[in-house]
Amino acid sequence: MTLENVLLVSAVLFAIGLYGALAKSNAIMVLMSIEIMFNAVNIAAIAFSRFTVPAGLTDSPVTVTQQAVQRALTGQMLSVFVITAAAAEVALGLALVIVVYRRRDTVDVTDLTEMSG
Amino acid sequence: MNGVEGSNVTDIAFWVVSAVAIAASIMVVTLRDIFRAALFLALSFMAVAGLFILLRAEFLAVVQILVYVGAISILIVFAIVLVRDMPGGGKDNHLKVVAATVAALVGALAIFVSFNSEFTDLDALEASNPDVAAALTGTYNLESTGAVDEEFEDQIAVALPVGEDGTQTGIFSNSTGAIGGLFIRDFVLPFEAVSVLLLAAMIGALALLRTREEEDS
Repeated sequence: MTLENVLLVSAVLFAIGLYGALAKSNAIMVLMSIEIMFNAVNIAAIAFSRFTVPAGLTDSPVTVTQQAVQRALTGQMLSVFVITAAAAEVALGLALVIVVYRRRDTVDVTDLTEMSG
Repeated sequence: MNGVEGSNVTDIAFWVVSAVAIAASIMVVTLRDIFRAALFLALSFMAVAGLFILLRAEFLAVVQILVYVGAISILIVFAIVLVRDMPGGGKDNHLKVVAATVAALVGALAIFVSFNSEFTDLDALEASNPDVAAALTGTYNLESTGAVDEEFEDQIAVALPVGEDGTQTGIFSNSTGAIGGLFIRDFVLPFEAVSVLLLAAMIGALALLRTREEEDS
């Protein structure tokens, strides 16, 4: 398990999610694909937190332990905030889907063309 | 944990969990039945939680199960039941070929970049500097190493409990406490901003879904 292998898995998951978000016509399917992409980003952030340190950290030997302790969890903190944003996004997105379904009786995004002029 | 890490067991576990995550995600975007797609999405989330554990992020694995499997998957299932658009709901639109091309290009670019970049390796730093290794994954005694200043010692004592003999566990061995300390210290502004975001999302969802009698017939 190296950094490259984890990033490979992350990139494959991101590509699958991107395909789903672009190719699906059901709005709920699009939201689910976006969640897969969020997951891929989280995997990458945590992998960087696990396998790398910031470049230039080793140049100051006196405080290298302190800096390593201070910075080692930065990727995990980023991913906590990504998870929070994803939760807010899916709550609002599904509320929008249900409102659209009430008014139009469909959630097909290819049918929602009112704003295309 | 240190004895297992880096051995064949973690490698096998990593590839099994990754294969489950990727296969479940492929099922999500290929299945016609949108309800089954939602269930496979939950399976994919759980496999990703397993990946988090292998990457020393136990706290995030638990958060992943609670938020993604416990909340988001259930919310999506509720929305599918409410919308009642299930049969044929997962069908593709006319952009299928373009979407596959774009996704393959973006994925290939990401893989190319990650295999051709140079990163400063944490494991190499741990191997060359036993202080760092102890502070990250083992147990260490801050006062005896002299590697940190007084102010930082006070700061980190908030996050990581000090035992009776003055030793502390490394931040990856006790990442929940360390993350809690970071929330109230270095990341306090994003933490507050995210609370406002969640409140706004909650009010927004309620305002969107409120039925107005004069509009609905």
